[in-house]
Order: sequence, then structure tokens, then C-alpha cells
Amino acid sequence: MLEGPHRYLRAYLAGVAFPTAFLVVILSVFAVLASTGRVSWSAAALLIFPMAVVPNLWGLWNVAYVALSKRRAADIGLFGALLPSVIAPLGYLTAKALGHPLPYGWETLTAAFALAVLVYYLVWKHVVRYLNESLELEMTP
Amino acid sequence: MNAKDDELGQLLRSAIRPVPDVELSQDLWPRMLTRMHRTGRLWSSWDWAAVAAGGTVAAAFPEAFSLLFYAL
Repeated sequence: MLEGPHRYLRAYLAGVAFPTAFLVVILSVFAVLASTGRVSWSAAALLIFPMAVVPNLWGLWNVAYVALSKRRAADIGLFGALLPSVIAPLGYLTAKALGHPLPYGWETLTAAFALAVLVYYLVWKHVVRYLNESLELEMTP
Repeated sequence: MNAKDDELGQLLRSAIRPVPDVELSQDLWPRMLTRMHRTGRLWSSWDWAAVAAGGTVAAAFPEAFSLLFYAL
């Protein structure tokens, strides 16, 4: 792992990049669903979570990864795959607190969690790792 | 070496900005290794298995796919 100035700041920025860029997709999907009446416009309050919470958690998770991998080699894909364990319960509780509980059964929620783990694994392994390397952060193979 | 050479040398030295530090601040070999590794990186069989598993879950539970947008 390369040392250098503002190492953790670079790690944070590399972490927030993907979910921040992906926001436009989320907002577009929501706008289409709401304008076609499939989702209530009042559910826009739920967007607080992917807009404010998720990117920050990605940034902090990457800071944790960079700090951890300084001491020992860690697989970034597997490290990223752990993040849904934090995000999923937070998202569930946030939706409930905002008065829009997720209208899905446990089967669907469990499937969504499994899907998130797989997607996070791939995104962290291939996208976040690339961003880390571009910012000269990650050196472990 | 005559006086003109000395004068020319001094003139050259005054015209060219001195290099402050020519020592390497860090070992460049790890960076080289990363670059070599990056060019040879491909998707592993585990990655394709994750894609296949994700596709299966998304096909079986389409609503799970929409929930993913909430957590990404």
C-alpha cells in the first residue's frame, strides 16, 4: 500500500464515487415509476437513504478497507460484500422510520440481501478496486 | 579548462534551475507490480459464478432487483 498525502481522503472519495454516479439511475427509475403511478411521489422521502446514507457508508467502508489492508492483505471484493450487512438493516429501519415500510415479505428481502451481496462483491472487486488503484491507494494483488 | 569555460559553466548553472531532490521518495517496485497485475487482470470463475447466481436470484425474485436500487 502506497503512503502519500491525504490517503484516507482519497480512499473516501474513491468509495463514494460509484454510488454517487449511480444516483442518476436511481432517480431516473424513481421518476419513471412515480410518473406512471406505480409508486407514490410521497415515497421520494425514501431517496434520502441512497442519496445521503449509502454513498457515505461506501466512502467510510473504503477508508476502513485502506486502513485494514495497510496491516494485512484483504480481498476487496469480500470486504465490499460485507457492506450489505450494515446497509440492509439500516435501509429497512430508515424506510420504517420515514413511514414507508418496504412492502415486501421476508423471502423477497432475503433474496434482495443475497443479490446485494453478489453485486457488491463484483462492484467492489472491479470498480472500487480500479478507483483505488487510479488514486494510487491499493497495492495488494 | 580556461576562464571562458568556467564562465560558461557558471552561466549554465545559473540558467538551469537546480533540482531540489533527486532521491526517490518511495519504492517504485510495488507500483510497477500493480500496473503489471492490472493489465493481466481478468474476471475469475468466481466472478462469473456471482453473475450467474445474481441473475438467477433476480429472475426468481424480480422485486429483489428493484430493492437493490434502494441499497446501491
